[in-house]
Amino acid sequence: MSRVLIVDESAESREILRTLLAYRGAVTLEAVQPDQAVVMTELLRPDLILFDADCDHSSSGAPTESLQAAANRNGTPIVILGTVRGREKRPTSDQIVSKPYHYGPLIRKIEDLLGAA
Amino acid sequence: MIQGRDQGTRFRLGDTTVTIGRGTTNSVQLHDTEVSREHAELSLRGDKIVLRDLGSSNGTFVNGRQVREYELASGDQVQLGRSLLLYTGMKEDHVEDLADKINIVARNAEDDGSRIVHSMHQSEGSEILAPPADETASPWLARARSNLQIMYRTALAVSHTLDIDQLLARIMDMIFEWVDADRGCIMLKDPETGQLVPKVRRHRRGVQTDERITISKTILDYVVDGSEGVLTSNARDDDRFDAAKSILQLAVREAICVPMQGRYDVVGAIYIDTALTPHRILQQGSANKFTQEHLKLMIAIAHQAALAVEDTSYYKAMVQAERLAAVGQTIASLSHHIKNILQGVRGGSYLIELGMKDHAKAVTDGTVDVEAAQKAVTTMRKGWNIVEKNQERISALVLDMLTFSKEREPVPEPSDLNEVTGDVIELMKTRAKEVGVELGWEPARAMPTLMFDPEAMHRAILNVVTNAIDACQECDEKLVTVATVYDSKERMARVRVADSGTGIEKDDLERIFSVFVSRKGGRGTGLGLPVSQKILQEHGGQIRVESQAGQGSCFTLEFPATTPHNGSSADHFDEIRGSTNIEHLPADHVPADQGHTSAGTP
Repeated sequence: MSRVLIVDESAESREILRTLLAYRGAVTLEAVQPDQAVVMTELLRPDLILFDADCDHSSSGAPTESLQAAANRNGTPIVILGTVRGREKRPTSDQIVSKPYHYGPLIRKIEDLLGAA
Repeated sequence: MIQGRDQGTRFRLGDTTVTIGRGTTNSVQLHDTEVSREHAELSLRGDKIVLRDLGSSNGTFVNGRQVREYELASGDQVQLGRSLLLYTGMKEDHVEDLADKINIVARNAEDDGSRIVHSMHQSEGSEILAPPADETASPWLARARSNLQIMYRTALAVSHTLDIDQLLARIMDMIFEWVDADRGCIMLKDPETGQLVPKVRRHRRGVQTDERITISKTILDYVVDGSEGVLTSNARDDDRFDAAKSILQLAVREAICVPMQGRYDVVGAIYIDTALTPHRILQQGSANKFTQEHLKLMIAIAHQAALAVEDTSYYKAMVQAERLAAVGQTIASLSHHIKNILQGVRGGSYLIELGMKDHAKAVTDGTVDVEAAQKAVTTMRKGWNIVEKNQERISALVLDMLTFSKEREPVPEPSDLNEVTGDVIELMKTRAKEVGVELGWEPARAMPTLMFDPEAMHRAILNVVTNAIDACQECDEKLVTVATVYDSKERMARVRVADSGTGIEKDDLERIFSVFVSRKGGRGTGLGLPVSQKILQEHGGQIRVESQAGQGSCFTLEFPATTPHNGSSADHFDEIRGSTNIEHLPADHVPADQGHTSAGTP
């Protein structure tokens, strides 16, 4: 069973993603802040990270970079929802989904990534 | 950008190199055909911004001089094609602290015993230039004094207005006061076309006013292109213009035309003339009325006027730039918030769609899979709740936007603060329960009927209570207490909203009432508190905040208690309390021992 880490400060968004992923038989882990997600990535080694870029309130984008680095170390793909600060520093392997997005294509993208993992 | 098609646009420079040009790939794209595709670039070198020309066709100019590479200083003007940019730099790092070097001391302290021996009002400043009563000096000195006085008054006049039309009219009036001209006009250069456009026209009293002022284009071009003032008594006699053959054959006239030379460019021209009839020539005993001294004076006046015109134009451009930046920020903030709401609506709708499909599957072929159908209904309900919540969010956003944008006066009417606050509690009960926040309500025991705008006050309280509930969401202790207080001594009505939430950092406290500043990330519009504060201020009140990070916050909304009877503070409230006539009290007021109700459970 795949494990997806949802990093989103909106309880509502987490609820939607949790419900949709449960439909696909995935287990979800949840974090509200990027630093919390870094720890969970290291410890729980999820199969995929869904990261809402709005969680990063810094102007430097450093929390996002830390999470990306943690994911890279574990070989975990990240889907970033929204726009990332300091975009030029972003690894090209990340999947970016601009807001507002449709859930159908997002779920298909997640399924593809989980299938490839 | 202070001149050109993109006038008013403001570009913020960061630590990355900024390319400027006509091409779409530039960080700063200029819509100017005289700008090269890749014209110049700005890069950070140490703590300075360096401008570098990238081999442009028409060159890069700083303060009127062509440059290949230039270290910009605040206030430098950069000309690219027809576009003029003003660079406002970073704060100087090494500003000398003069506090230790200049002492302002109290009298009788360490002063040197100086006293005022003479004083003069600022308006008397120009009198220093007036000739003394026993003036016996040479006529030259008298004229010099007079000219100095004219310049002093010009400088004063141009420094007192930010309206260009008003400024030009004043300049023209002063010229007519000092120079015996018949007609005159001021023309300003159109920033787009470079053509001179007449702005002000004056006639001496008695001169026919419907007569057109005809000015030779050759003379104007000579004045503006060469930045040189001219005095013409009869243009046909002036060799410099004969070649052009376009000097209009005017009547015998004397004219002065001077450029309005600004700091870096000619911004326009001033023209005055006078008709010299044979009768007048005989009268004054000379064929000349205007002298070189007049010309010099006019050049000096035009320069002062040009500086003022430039300052006014740049000030307007700066204001426009600030305005555009504010509009940009507003649109960006609102778009971001609307995007998040739309995301929620899409999520809710998708869940409903999913539930509907599952429900359809659960009831096919005449059989019903009850468990699957129930699960589908649960999914649909979940989706619908999310859609509904986002409907409320967009509705609240629209109301906040309207409240914030409207220059409105509150519509006070006899209202019950307990009732208005109670309505907010009722409205927020469900939301508090959903997120496990205990919502306590402590209405004042005796709250008089007060004059305030109940709808606006409802909005103000609702925003603060919503924030309080949100602040508790991620905390272990989730408690929000709302209380109303009537302070008969200070004659103030108060609504206190205390929460056990995350609290506010000391540094953030000053910013919480700033528009579009939200500590809720994507969930906050940054409009709630500014709107509440605006409403309270409209009622002559304020919002006070006490908060400690990690400990929670207490917001107090307070406004002067005004009663419906006499419009003054609640004088009669003491009478109400002292008598048995309690019908003025709200019908549903809560006795002290029943004052605390709880909405929502942890």
